[in-house]
Amino acid sequence: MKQEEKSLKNTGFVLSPHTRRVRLAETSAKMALWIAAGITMGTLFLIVGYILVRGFVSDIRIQFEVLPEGSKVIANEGYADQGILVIVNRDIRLKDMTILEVTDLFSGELDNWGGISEQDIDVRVYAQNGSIRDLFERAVFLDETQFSEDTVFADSDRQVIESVSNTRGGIGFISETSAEYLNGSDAKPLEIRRISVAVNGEILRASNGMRLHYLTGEQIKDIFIGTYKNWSELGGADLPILPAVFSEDSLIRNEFEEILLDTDMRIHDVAEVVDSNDELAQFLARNLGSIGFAYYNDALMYEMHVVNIERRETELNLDAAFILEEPRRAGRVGGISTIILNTLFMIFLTLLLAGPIGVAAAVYLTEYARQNRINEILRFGTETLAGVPSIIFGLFGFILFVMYLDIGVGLFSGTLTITFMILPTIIRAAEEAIKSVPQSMRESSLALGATKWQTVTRVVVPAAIPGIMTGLILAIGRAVGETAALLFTMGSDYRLARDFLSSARVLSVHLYILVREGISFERAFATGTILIIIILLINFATNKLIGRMARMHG
Amino acid sequence: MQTKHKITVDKLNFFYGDFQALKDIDMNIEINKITALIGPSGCGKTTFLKTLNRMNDLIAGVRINGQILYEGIDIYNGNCDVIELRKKIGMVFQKPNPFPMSVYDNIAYGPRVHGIKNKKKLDEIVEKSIKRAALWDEVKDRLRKPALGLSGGQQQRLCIARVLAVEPEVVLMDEPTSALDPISTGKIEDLLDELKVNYTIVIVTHNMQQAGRISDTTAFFLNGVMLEAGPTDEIFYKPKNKRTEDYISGRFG
Repeated sequence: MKQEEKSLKNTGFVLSPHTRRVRLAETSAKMALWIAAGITMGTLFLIVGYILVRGFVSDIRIQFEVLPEGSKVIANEGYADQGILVIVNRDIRLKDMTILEVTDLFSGELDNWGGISEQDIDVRVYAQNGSIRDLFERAVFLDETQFSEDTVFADSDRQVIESVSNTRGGIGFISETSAEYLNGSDAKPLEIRRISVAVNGEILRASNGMRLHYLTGEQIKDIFIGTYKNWSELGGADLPILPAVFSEDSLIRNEFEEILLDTDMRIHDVAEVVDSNDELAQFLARNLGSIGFAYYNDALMYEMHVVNIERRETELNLDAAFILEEPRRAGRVGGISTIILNTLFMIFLTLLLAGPIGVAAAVYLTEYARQNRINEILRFGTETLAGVPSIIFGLFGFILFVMYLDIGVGLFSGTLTITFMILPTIIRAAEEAIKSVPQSMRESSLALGATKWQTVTRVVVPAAIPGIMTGLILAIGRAVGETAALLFTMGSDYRLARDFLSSARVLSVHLYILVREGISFERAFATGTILIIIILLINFATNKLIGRMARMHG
Repeated sequence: MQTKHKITVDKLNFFYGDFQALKDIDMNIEINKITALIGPSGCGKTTFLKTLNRMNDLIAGVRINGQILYEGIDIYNGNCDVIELRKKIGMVFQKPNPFPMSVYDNIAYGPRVHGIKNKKKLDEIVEKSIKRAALWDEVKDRLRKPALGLSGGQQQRLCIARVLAVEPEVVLMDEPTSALDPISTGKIEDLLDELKVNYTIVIVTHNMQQAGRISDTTAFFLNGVMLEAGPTDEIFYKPKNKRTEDYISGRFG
């Protein structure tokens, strides 16, 4: 006894080689597990996070031949006190427009706001028929452009304001001096982007395999304040930068400085001061490496080489309008409300069909069927079906429901196909859940004199509900994300399904079409985000439900 | 004679496939008495208990010959209604196994499957059954709470109440206290003593003291054979069979 105590004392607090080995092995195993779990979770978060971020915020770079910003007042050289404001109805979700868009809207080239503000609203043009009409035409229209035939001419600025206020999709122009009447009206002035940057043609040509594709607003600012001296610094040819500017008292110079430069900045190292567009065009044509700015229309008229200017547009991609509005124009504009509803409708119908059938099949297989060879084959069959690619189900659904049974492409065919697709998942999960109900529950129910059917329906299935629900969620997840099986069977009509037979587009199919047809990546991501959110919501709600039921299970 | 003997077992043989689990059992179970079945593990006492309300029917490949008469009626006769039989002969299992429902629904389960829908009547049955199982004071405020939230001892008494709710005449108990602590066990033993006034109880137990304390009659099983049966005092103090004495005095088993 004493000896034992002694030996314990001697070795008790020193790590034996064996313990050390075991500890090392355990530590490395733990590390390996940690790394594996970390990689998995990290990847998951990355994917979901990326989709959510891109879904909520669109961050796109668009190139136009005008500066990234504009000013509200359209100025006319020589008529300094007669600026023009372009106003639109408040419903139009815009802050600014390019001069090109203004031209297209007033000339009737664009008759819908879809292409500009992504709203499916018809354009209604109001023009002031008085003193500033000529000035407007001169500043905005190119040579042969004219007001659209549908233009409503008003006699005064106040009439234009009133019309634009009262008309959805209304656009008009007024004199700057009437700006005060905009207060309290439902019309708002837009910034008009109309200053272009033009260069000597040589700069845009490739040299040494390099070519200047575009400039950013920031780069243009740095060129004119003298930060850059040579085009090679901007990825262009090895030419000195020669800026030409209009004189300090010109309206365009003021506007240019106001847009690009901070208050304490000044234009530096000017190579040439010009007085007219003609002069500017000649200077640009004659001098390699020269750069200048002019109103877009003038630049075109004097055939200057206009540079593409990149603008980064960061805005809310997924807003209330996207969820609440109906899709229009192939999903290019509007929202996805009807598609969300179609999807929910499909989920509901699928659950209604697949839930009871799946649970019934599982009950039969576990409680009633004899556990023999046939049952084994059946079970193997269900497992195999669960692994069959969905496109096969789509093809099968197409042949059986759409062609042979002649139900047609629509909600019903799609739902039936999806039901077939997710049944194996539901059956498997329900089987497992039912099997995991303790045998003693069945015994005590039977011992109380309950029949087998009563035992199954009143004890076994209720006790298995949480497990069955989990299976249903898994199945719904698969159904919501399903594209291939639905493409041929449910169709792609993005209007709200009117009945069981009408073609209905669901979110996953919408996403597929948006990307496949190159309609809009931004909208595809927003749709994907909604898809993820719906799945999250369903999971969350079911967890709550299961939690509530599980409380009965102790 | 039939008034005294609730159940009469005559030459009962029981087979699991080729294995004979019970051999030529003859036994009378007396009315309003507690009959204890004792014996080492695997001796056939639980199998015997389950033949009494035909719970062995659930196992594939069992064979039975001989007779079990319940109030003179052969329960293995083809015409016997198993549902009615189990109503008359209830069973409490080794481990407390309430259903995953509320306390109330657990008790009301039996009456409900037998067709009682009247809310008032169910309330009455539930209260009466729980009171009989000496559980009323502990659960009267939590009838709507999950039964699985009760303690082990309470759960077992709930299971007894659940059986009583069907109004059986015989209650079979398969080691009802083996999963419980001494205090809960004591409560259930007291309960059994009260219950025997109205019910006939057959209990399987591994606990010699328990058999001695509560039972009126004891039957000793060994290897599928009932070696000895008789008044508990006799079995415990004057066993006729040497092996019974060995077992009771703890020399094997």
